[in-house]
Amino acid sequence: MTGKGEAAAQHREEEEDGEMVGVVKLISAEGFEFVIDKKAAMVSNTLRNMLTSPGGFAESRDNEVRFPEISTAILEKICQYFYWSLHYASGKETAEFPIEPEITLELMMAANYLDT
Amino acid sequence: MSARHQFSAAAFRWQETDGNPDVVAGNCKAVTNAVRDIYAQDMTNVIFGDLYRRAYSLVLHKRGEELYSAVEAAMASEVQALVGSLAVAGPSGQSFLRELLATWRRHTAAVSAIRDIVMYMDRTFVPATGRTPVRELGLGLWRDGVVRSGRIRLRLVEAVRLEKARQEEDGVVGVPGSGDLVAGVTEMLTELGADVCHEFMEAPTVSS
Repeated sequence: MTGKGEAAAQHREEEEDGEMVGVVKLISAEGFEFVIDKKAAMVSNTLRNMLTSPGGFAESRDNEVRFPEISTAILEKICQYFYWSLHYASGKETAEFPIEPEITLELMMAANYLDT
Repeated sequence: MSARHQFSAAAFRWQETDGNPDVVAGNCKAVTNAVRDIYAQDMTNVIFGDLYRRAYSLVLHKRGEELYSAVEAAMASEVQALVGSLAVAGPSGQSFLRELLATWRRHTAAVSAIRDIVMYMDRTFVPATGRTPVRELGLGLWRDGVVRSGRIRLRLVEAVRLEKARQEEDGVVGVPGSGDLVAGVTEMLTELGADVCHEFMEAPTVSS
């Protein structure tokens, strides 16, 4: 009984977020490629604008974004943060997001850039 | 000590371009070229990531002033070009309104694409220096450069008056889409500011 309701709710959600379905490829300075869900990428306002702007930028056609100034290690951390944020930002559950002190500055620079 | 050096070099990869006037000019030029392409709806060479990075770099290196003026000037000249094309638009009331609204939609779409590119400027430089945000800048250019400009203003008032008169004659269902035209104009004027809408909607009754 509940299964049916859940399916309907999920279906509705998918319809509402039409633009958020699918994946996007993020490419680091060293050329490493991270393929993540669009929904996760949209945690970043910069990426959200990039992928949803009415203009039809190259990125929203190819679903591929290059970051020549973000290193692989930092971009990986950022992708982890996107998923962490999706899961825990609602506040229903809580968990620490671990940040190693030695990458803090670079990570904050990247967060500033991505408006995250 | 040496480890610390290495660390800050990696963290500030952005600073490679710092202070180089050629790079600053190049970044400004790339953004203004993009403004032109966006208005021309030619997106083949417009790469968001690249432009966002250039705009970000300019603001980060205290070149927000140059970027802001460049964007403002580029938008103003594009709006001027749109007024020029509107001035030669079809003479009849309805087709003029249709043309005006299509151009208005093109302008607002372009403004939001530009705002997305220079979002970092809008988020940091603009509030810090008390400038007008890009969206409001776009509305202001349209308000003062288009609807209040001598050539457009009178035609707009006249076209709306004709359109309303026609609606009254034919009844609302008479001409398909004609009601939408007046509604579209009202919506546009309201977005430009409550006073702007008054200014235009009151004018026909004053003259008659």
